[in-house]
Amino acid sequence: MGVIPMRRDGLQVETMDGELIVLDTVRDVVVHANATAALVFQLCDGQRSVDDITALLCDAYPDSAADIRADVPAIIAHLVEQRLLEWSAAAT
Amino acid sequence: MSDNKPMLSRRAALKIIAAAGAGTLLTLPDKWTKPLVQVGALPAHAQVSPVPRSLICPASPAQPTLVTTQTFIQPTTVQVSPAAAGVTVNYIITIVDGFLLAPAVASGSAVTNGAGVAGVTVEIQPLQGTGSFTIAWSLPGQQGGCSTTYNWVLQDF
Repeated sequence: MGVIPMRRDGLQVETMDGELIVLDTVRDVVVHANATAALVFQLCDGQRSVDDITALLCDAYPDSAADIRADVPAIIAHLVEQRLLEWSAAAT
Repeated sequence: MSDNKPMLSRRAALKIIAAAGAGTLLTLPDKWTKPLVQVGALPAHAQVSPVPRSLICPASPAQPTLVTTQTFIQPTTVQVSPAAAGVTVNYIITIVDGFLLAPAVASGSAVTNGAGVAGVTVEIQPLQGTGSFTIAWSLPGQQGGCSTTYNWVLQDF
């Protein structure tokens, strides 16, 4: 069994010009995500692994595949650290 | 990582991504840039916006509500002005001759919708033939606010 990233419950998510504003009203924290961070956050739906998300984005942006392979795991780890995402057990 | 997986066409990948973001109308960036997030603590007086806001409560009903069941269920709302979504509003419920069933505790917070309206449904177990509850709303970190009182009368008490 692996782990997959998923959004935490209780977050207020608003979009603005392709970017994302996430309000954590429990902790009184606001997070602004640029367009690519927003994209990664949206793809963390509890169904896709980090590798799945990375592969999908590499396919969507093949010219940036090398950057994506570095950026996606890093930003997901950061979003988990900021408690916008959490790790969920993946069904095998 | 994904080296052994078959490549999707870019078009197919974009369709999958667009479907994932459909619920929030996410716009796909034209090109990949480094993902960045900025995290900040909201000042208590500026939960969403620094714009000064005020609260407008509905007037207290002139007549009590006749309660035919043993539970008084009353939706309550407050309007934030100027209207904005995502504004956190605090409430405190005080009850005379009743027992609070819902929400679970007498104080909490609600978040405004796109029309700038926040609300909470209050459920009271009446302890007497008549009673009332008052819900007072306030913006975090701001003085003032507004309140609405709802009275009930138990039928056949």
